[in-house]
Amino acid sequence: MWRKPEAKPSSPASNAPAPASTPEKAKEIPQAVSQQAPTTTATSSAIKTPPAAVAAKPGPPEPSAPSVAKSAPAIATPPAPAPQRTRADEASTISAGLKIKGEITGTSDLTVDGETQGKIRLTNGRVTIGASGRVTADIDAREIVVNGTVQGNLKASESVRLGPSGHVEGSILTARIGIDDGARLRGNVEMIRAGETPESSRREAEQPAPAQAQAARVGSTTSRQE
Amino acid sequence: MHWTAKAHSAVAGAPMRPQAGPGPAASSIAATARNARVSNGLKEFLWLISDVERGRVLDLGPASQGTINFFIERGYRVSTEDLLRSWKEFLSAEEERLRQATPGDDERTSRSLLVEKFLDSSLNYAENTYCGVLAWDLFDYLDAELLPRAMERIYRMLIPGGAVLSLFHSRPPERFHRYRLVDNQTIESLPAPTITVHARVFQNREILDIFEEFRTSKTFVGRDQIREALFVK
Repeated sequence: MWRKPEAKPSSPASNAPAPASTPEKAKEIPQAVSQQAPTTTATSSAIKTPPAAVAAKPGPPEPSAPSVAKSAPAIATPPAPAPQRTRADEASTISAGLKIKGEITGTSDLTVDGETQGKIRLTNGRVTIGASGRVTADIDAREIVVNGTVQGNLKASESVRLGPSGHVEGSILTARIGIDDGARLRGNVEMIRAGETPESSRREAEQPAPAQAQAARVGSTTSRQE
Repeated sequence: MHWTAKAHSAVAGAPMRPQAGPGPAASSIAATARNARVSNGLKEFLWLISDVERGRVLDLGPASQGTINFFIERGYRVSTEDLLRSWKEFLSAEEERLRQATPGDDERTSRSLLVEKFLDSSLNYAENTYCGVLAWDLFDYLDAELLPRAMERIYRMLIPGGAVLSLFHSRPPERFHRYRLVDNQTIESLPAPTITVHARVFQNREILDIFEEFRTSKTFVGRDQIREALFVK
């Protein structure tokens, strides 16, 4: 009777990594590496970014060079394609214990675990204030997540999220807002349409309100609620 | 019709704006399951402020996404200030500062001076700014020295015809709660970590005295013995 042959354990097909999973790993592993190796950055610079060499590690494993190539170096193996840079690769971190004064601008994402004073303007980026982060600055970004303390106005073209330990003293202008239980907010909340610039919404909001007429004195009543 | 002339209308109990969804009966059942209460005071509060274009509402309780979204979806602008928590943190900071003061310093301050100092940075809003203030059960917990000064500020920040919705317990509550809006006739109370102990139970006459500057008052007594008080400037 004919039986379907099983794939040999040592066959190339069974050993080959699933190609679909490699792009995800390329995103995840650099973050893990940057967390495990803080000594490379915390003492030497205020803003740490994952080293390019580390980011390049998780690419697909290069095939072992055939023995022919060893004996004949004239035949060059094609270079491995450079890993595509992701937003996670571009994220920068102001670590706990660091304090920065001034204006921060750019296009990458930013995580603040230390202290920042001044202004943060990353209009296409995501700004995350960690639980230990203390920010005294206006923040203008695409997305803002607050788990620490912010004194300043928040403008986000997409969303603002206040985590359970988040504390904001200032106004919020955004298209979407999320507030977890325990979060503290002292200030105004105004919404803009998604994709609308905060400036145009601000101009619209500052239109004078119609004058209110005097209220008529009506009296006092008490009723029982069913 | 101007919105300030709407008080005591025959439709005071009707929802502010018709909305799709379960009727009052279904809403009431759902409200019970979620520790929520159907609130006539809220209905009337919303109705009073419904004609104010891009009106501003101030929530004096802990920030709640449900409450903020509720008003923003209806075109209002919302401010929040957790007044009770700010007051308690202010007092703690002052006590700590006094502990660290040297014995020679004349740093002892009366409660009224503390109130003045606190209000330098709190409840500091421009006159005639808000069309509505949600005070929840704040006044049950405020210090006797702070309460009248806070009321002065609230009165000043309201536009003419602006409304304050507040809750008063008829007996000391078993625990601390925070509140949020579920829909246009339902308030949900959620148990919360205690910030301070319940200060006192107000009688009807005392409640009217607190709001003596306001033009109109209306109170609703619920089955849970919580009185909802609605006052209009």
